[in-house]
Amino acid sequence: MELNQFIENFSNQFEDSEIKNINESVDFKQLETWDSLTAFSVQMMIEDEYSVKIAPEELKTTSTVLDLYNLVKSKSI
Amino acid sequence: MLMKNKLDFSQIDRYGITLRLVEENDAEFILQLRNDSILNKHLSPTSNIIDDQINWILKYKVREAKGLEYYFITIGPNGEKWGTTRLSELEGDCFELGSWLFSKQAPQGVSIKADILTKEIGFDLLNFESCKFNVRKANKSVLKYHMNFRPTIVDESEIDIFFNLSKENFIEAKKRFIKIV
Repeated sequence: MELNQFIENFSNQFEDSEIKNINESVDFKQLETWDSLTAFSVQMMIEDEYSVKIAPEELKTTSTVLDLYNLVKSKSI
Repeated sequence: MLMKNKLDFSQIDRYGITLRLVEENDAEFILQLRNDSILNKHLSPTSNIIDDQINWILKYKVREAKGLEYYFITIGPNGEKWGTTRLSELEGDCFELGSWLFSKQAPQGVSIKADILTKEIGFDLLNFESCKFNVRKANKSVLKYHMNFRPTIVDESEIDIFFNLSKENFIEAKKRFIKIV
C-alpha cells in the first residue's frame, strides 16, 4: 500500500478542484467541502481500492490523511 | 380497485430508520430544514410562513391519496425527525426523486440510508424501472455521491445536471453501499 497513491485516491473523492492539492498532513475534516457524503465516498473508495471496511466511528478517530492511511494500512494486513 | 402506484403502508422500517408519510404536523420541521441557511444553499426559496407550509402539505395529501406523490419524513428510533425525501412524477416507468434534506443532528449515514430506502420504495414496491433527479452543479458532494450509482446524465442547464438512474444500476450500487452504512 503506497501513500502517494492513497492520497491521490483520497483527493479524487472531492469534486472541487481546489481540494486536489491535498497532502498527508491535511486535517481533512476541517476542509470546507468535507461533509457526511464526502465521508461516505471516502469509505467507498477504501472498500473498493483496499478491501478494508472503515466504520464511521473509526473515521472519527482520524484527523489527517496520514492518520487515515495508517488506519487503512493496519486493517489491510 | 387497486390504484396504480398506490402504497399500502404509512410507514416502513429498515436499516435502523423509519420512513413515514408526511403529515400536517410536520410543517414546522420541514420549514426548519428548508430555511436553514446551510442546508438551503442549493434549494429554491421557501415561504417561512407556517400556514403556507400546512396548506402545501394539505394539497400534497390529495396527490398522495391519488398515488401521484409520496413525501416521507425519516425518523429515528425515539421518534426524532431527521429529514425528508420525496417521490413524485410517478408516471410511466420512471419516478422523480427529490426533497433529500437532513438535519445536522441526524447521525452520519442516516441520509444515505433514507436515500436507499426511498429508492427501494420506488423500484421495489412501486415497480418503476428508472428514476430521475437533478442536482445543482455547485452542490459538489451531492454530485459525487450520486455518481457512485453510475446514473446517466440526460441533460444539463446553467445550474443543474439532470440524471436518470436505472433499477439495474441502483441494485448494483446498493450492494456496495449497504456494506458501508
